[in-house]
Amino acid sequence: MTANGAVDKFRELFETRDAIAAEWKNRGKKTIGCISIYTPEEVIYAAESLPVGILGGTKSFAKANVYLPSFSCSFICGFLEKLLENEYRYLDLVTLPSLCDSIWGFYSIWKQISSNPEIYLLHYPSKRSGEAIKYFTKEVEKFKNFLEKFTGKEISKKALEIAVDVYNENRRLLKRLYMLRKSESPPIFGFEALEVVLSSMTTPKTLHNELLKELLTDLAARQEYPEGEVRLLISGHILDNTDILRVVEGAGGLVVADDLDSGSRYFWSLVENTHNPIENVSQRYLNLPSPYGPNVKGRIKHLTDMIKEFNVEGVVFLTRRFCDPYLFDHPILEQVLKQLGVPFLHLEHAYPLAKASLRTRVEAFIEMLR
Amino acid sequence: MAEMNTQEYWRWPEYRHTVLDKDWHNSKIITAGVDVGSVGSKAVVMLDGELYAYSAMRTGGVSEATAVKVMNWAIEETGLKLDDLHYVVGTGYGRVNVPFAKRTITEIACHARGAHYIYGPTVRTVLDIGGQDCKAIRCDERGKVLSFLMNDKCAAGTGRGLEVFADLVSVPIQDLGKVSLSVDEEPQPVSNTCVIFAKAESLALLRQGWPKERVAAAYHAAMADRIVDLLMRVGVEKDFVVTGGVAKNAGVIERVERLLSIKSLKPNIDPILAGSLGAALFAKALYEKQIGLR
Repeated sequence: MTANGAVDKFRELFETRDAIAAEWKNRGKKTIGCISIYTPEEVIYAAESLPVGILGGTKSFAKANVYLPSFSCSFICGFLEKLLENEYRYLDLVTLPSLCDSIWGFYSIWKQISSNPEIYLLHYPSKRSGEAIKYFTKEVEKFKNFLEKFTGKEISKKALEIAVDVYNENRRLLKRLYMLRKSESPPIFGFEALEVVLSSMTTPKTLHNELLKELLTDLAARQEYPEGEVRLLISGHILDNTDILRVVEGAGGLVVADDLDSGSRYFWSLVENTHNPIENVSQRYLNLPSPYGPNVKGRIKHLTDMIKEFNVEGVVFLTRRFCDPYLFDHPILEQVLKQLGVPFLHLEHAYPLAKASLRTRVEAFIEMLR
Repeated sequence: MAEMNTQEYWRWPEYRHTVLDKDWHNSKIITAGVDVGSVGSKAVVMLDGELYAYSAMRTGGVSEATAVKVMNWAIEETGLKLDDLHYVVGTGYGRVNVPFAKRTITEIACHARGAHYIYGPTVRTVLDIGGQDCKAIRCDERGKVLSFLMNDKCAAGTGRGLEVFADLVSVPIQDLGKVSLSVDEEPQPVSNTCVIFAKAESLALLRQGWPKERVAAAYHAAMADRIVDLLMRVGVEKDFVVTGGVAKNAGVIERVERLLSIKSLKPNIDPILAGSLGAALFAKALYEKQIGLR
């Protein structure tokens, strides 16, 4: 398994994300931490601020564990640990979607213990009805008003339209990159594709768009292709890093598609039009296929479509220990795959990663598919 | 003068064996499998796919050294040298640490293949209880893995847990299962699922005056509960077999059978060897492929 160099730039962007955000802040602009996929980033962009995808940690959570109960997920524990370690000192604001217990708990705790960075909770409805869309549109409107005050910038309809264009372009480019992976010999490894998507969540979008265009040109001219014995799809949450995918691809798997918060689901659907940007943006986010909605249908469709379109031979489910939305979805998704006759492996994991047993299970799965 | 009791109740006997009516000089393909587990290491030599010599010993601090030692011990009385082995496959937790192996294959594939050799082609569910983890494997009539689950949260349901427990109640580990079955009435399982806490809880029961047989029953019952939980999730289909070191503990196996209402097949070959047997069989297939026989 060797990386081909074409995505080095994106790896670098991801690895230097803290410096990029700090530099942005030094120019007198705001940086806003968020869970990228479930935050209407267009509104933040329109306020001339930088949305920075927040991540959990991979080390111990000694400081965070003082506040959080033992059933909190590693994403929230890791994020709190980083805040307490002052690793996110460049963030002016954190905005979180009200999607799970760990987030709710974290929100109320942070409110009690600090106001730096300030925290904002974006309320998601649990339904997806017409009423729910109205409600959520109002919530996004409120968020817009809050941001105007917070940043001192007026967010015009024009600015929102431009933001939607920039974000839609990023989505189209990422989708074009993913489409190349449908080929019998995909031009990039799965861990590289993940680096591209993760960097999209932390890099100013216009810069990311330019680099994506270059990447698509470079990849078209590539001679050497990654090798793998079986075509795999990874399904799950936000991956904080490429560790697990590197284990999978080091063991002979080739990840050709995903159903990840930090993967296809982040960019698969567009904001359809901009005649009422706040409403159109709200609609798009509320209808994302995710484990947080009232049922799992949207996610089943996205997952099974990906399996068919990308000629997937096996699925690896990743769940964080104590991540209830994903763990509750999981048995249903297993049943769906059994009916489809698609083999799968479930890796429930915590940090620090138990790499030896992870590798054994991944290798055994790939041996099984050979 | 009182003497300190220094008996190591946890220590299981190490052993080696050669099938005496076989002569490797008459065989075409000599292969070996080395299974470096977290607690025990096993080596098997096969002549044309038939069991010839084997050994089992405790895994030491350095996996490479143990791999060499266990292999040399297996061939000790055969006159074979390492160089005479046509193909060696490494498996187990320390599979990458077998310096003379040409390839590694996971213990999951090897146990299924080994179980197929030991118990025959009717095996559909293999339960491997090793030193540090436990695997439930579904396989087809060729011994190929169809699906599997592996516990990875704690060692309480495994061989290492039994070793700790043997020491606690001062019962030699080989007798532990039998002792646990000698109670008239089955007590509540110990509730803790962590090997350290389960030990602490067992200690508390002993202090309350429970006889060691009853505490052993409670401990074994808890192990069986955890194992059955894993098996239910992968689904159990007949024939059902058990491999790995804990296959020799009747106290665990009988309770698992009771909970599942299913009997496991009884082996003619030491089930601790399943992983290394599977590895040696894969080695044969790989060697045949290499020399163009397949």
